[in-house]
Amino acid sequence: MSLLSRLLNVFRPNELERELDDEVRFHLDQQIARNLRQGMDEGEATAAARRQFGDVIRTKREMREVRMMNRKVVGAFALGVTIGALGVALLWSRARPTAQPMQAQQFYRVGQEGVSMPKLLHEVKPKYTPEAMQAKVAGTVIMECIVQPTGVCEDVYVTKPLDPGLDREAVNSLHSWRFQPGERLGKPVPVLVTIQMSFTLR
Amino acid sequence: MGKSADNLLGTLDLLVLRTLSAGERLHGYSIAERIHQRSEDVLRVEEGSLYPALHRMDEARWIKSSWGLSDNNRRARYYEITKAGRRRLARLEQDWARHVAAVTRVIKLA
Repeated sequence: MSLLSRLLNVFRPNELERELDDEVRFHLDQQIARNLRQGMDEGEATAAARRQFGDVIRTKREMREVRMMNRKVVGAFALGVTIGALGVALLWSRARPTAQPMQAQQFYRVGQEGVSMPKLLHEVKPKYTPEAMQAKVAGTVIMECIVQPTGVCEDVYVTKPLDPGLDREAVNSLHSWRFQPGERLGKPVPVLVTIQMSFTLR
Repeated sequence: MGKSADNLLGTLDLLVLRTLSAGERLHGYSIAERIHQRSEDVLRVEEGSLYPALHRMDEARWIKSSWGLSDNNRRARYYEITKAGRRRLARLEQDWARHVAAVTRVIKLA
């Protein structure tokens, strides 16, 4: 990672998130492709790749922690240098616009510039974990993700967690959902959506 | 599948740095694949340890990362070894050899 991208990441948490997501996704896709070559069908290939990767959320959290630790140091350094060289006023005018995560992200919201809502085509229900079932955990997990023009969800982010195991199941199943992408001026575009998954016990 | 190569005594760092030491730029997937192949399927680096380790070593400047296009035209993060990484590798190789020799001596004596 260059010093420039380190400095930029200080002000753009979503950029870091996107990079982590891209890296993990690339790995999974490589593994899925390999599994397919070895004769598995698509569902099997995806499931095996996910199983082998293990806990995606935990791994990403660890990657994030490594980066954030350094980011704080770089951030403090950047702040010091900037104050020294340019003065507090300029720092504020610089930091404010870049602090908007929306600028780093490339997606639309529904309704913005006439963008239409992505339509759910294929849904996979999340599974209960034995632990959550035993502990009788029930409720909803709310996630945000970007439905890409390809119809898959990327950059899944849990906005309202419920239980570590169930959050993971929810995110995993969301990755298998397929959408008809949202459109702007008749062309498919990435659109931010909020997804709610309920876990109920009877 | 084989045993998982955790980072006991810096083993994982050693394996990753050694894999990159030819000077090639590799993404995480092929680093894992090569370790698996070269160990003749004995060692399997778990992704859950590999990626945090890559990021940690990147922050330590033993390796550096950059985004590029993969064979199948996908955006992928590539890693390559740095000068500091080569120094680190030499050190880890020494430690490893010393450790193996010590364990061997204990086994023989026991």
